[in-house]
Amino acid sequence: MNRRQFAALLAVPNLHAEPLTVRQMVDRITTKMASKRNPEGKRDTYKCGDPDTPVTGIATTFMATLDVLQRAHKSGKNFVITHEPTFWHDPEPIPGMDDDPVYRFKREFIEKNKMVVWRQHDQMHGVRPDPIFLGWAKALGWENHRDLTDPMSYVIPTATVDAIATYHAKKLKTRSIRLIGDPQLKVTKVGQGGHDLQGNMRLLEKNDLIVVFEARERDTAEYVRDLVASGEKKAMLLCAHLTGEEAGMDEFAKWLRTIIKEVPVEYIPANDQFWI
Amino acid sequence: MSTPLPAQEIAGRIAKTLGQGTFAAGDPATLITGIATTFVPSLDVLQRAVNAGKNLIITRESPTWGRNAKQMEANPLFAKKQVFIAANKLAIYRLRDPWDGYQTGLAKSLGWDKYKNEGIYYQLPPVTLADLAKQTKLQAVRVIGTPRTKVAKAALTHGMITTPDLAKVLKEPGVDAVVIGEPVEWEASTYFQDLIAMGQAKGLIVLGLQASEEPGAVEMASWLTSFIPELPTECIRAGSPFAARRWA
Repeated sequence: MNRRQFAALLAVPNLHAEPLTVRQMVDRITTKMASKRNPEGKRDTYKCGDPDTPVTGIATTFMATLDVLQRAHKSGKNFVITHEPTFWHDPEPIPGMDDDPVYRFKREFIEKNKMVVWRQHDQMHGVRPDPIFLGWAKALGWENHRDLTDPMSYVIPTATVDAIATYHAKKLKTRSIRLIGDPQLKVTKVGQGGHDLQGNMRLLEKNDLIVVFEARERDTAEYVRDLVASGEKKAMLLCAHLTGEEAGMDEFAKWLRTIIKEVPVEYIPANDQFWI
Repeated sequence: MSTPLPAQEIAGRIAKTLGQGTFAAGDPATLITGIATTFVPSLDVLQRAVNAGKNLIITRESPTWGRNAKQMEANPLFAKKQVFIAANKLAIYRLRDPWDGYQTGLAKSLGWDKYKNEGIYYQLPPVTLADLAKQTKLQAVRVIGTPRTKVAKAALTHGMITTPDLAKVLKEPGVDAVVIGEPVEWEASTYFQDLIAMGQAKGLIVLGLQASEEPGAVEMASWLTSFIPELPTECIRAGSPFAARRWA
C-alpha cells in the first residue's frame, strides 16, 4: 500500500457504505426520543421533499422559513427539522393555496435542491424536562431557578419587570417585547406562559410575572390588563413566539449529535421576525 | 334633554343597518341613559363609562376575554367584573358586524383619509417603512421588512388576518406595505417573511388588535348619534393594553 492508498483508506468513513436516508434518520430519532407523546397526528410529519433522499446534513430550526431553508442549503444541510409549520398553518398545507406564488416558490426551492422538511413538535413536547422550554431556561441562565412543583414556573432573584425585560431583550436577542403592567413592579415568581388563556390564567395565580411567547391579544392581553386594573400586583411580558422556543432547537441539535454521527448537525436560528 | 330608552330598543335600531349583536351582560330591558362605544369592555372602560353616566356599552370584544361566561364561571376576576356590572346596572352589547366604519376609522386615525384610495389600497406620499411605522405613534407597533424599504402604495386592514387573507391582499400589483392588526406568528407574519426572502422589497406593519379596531368604535359613536338622538353617545377608548416602553 502506497501513501496515497493509505490516505484514501483513512478518508473513508468506517460507518455505512450507503448514506442514510431521511426516513432512516427519522426512524432513529423517533425511536430514541423518550417521549410521553408518540404522535400519530398531522403535526410531526414530512412537509415537503422525498423522505428517501440520502442525507447530506441536518439543520434544526424553530421554523422552516424560506430564509432558514436558503441558509441550510448554502451550508450543505438537506434535511431540515422544524419545530413549527413550514406552510403557515397548522394543519398544513392550507387547502386552496396550491397556486399561491409564495407557496410554489418555497415548495420548488425545497424540491429542486433535494431537501426534505420534517416537523418535530408534539413528540418533543412530550419529553421531560421539555427540551424546548429547557432551552429557553438555559438561554436565560435560569435552569437552576426552576420551581420544582411546576415545570412552567421559576423562582428568580427579585428584580423589576423592567430589568427582566432588558435581560430578555439582550439574552434572547429580541426586539418585540410588549409589557402589560408596571415596569417598576418587583417580582420573584415568573411563569413561562403560552398561547392559551387558560394556561396563562393558571400561571398568573401563582406567579407575579408571566413571560408569554405569543398569545392572542383579545384574550390573554385583555385578561392581564383587567387583572392589573383590579389591583393585583401582576405583569406580563408578551414576546414573539420564537423567542421562547428557538433555543430549544439548539438543545435538540446537541442531542441529535449524540445519536447521529454520520452527518453534520447544525442549529440554524430563525431569529425574531420583527425588527421593532 | 335625553330620553331613556330600553337597551333592546337601541339594539333594534342598530339591527336595521348592521346585524344582530348579543347582550354579553346585563338585562336587555335596562333603561339606558347614555351609550359608550368601545373596543373592549375592560374594567377600566366600565369604570369610566359609569363616571360618564353611560350604562350601555357597545363593544367589539367580549367582557369575558374571548371566552363565554360559563367558561369563566369559577374565575375570581370575572366575579369582580360581574359584581361591578350588576351594581351599576350596566348592559353590554357585543357587535361584531364587519361594518365599514372600522376601515374608515382606522384610515382617519392614521391620517390616511386624506390620501387617494381604492378600497383598502392607499397612495401615500413616498416614505420609508421605518418612518411609516413611526408615524403610527404606537409604542407597541411591530414591523417585518427592511427599515429603508420605500413605501408608496399600502394596504390597510384591521383585526386578525389569516394567511389566505393576507395572500389575497397581496394579489394587488405594486403593494409596498401592508398594515394589519394582529397575525398568528406561525401563519400570516411568517408568510410575509417568506415573501421578503423571495426577494420582494415589502413591509408589514403590525399595529396590534386594539390599535387597529378601536378607531372603529369612534366612528360607531358618531354614527349612533345620527339615529339615536335621544341619548348622549361617546366612544370610551380602552387604549393600548401595552405600556409605553421598549427594550431594544
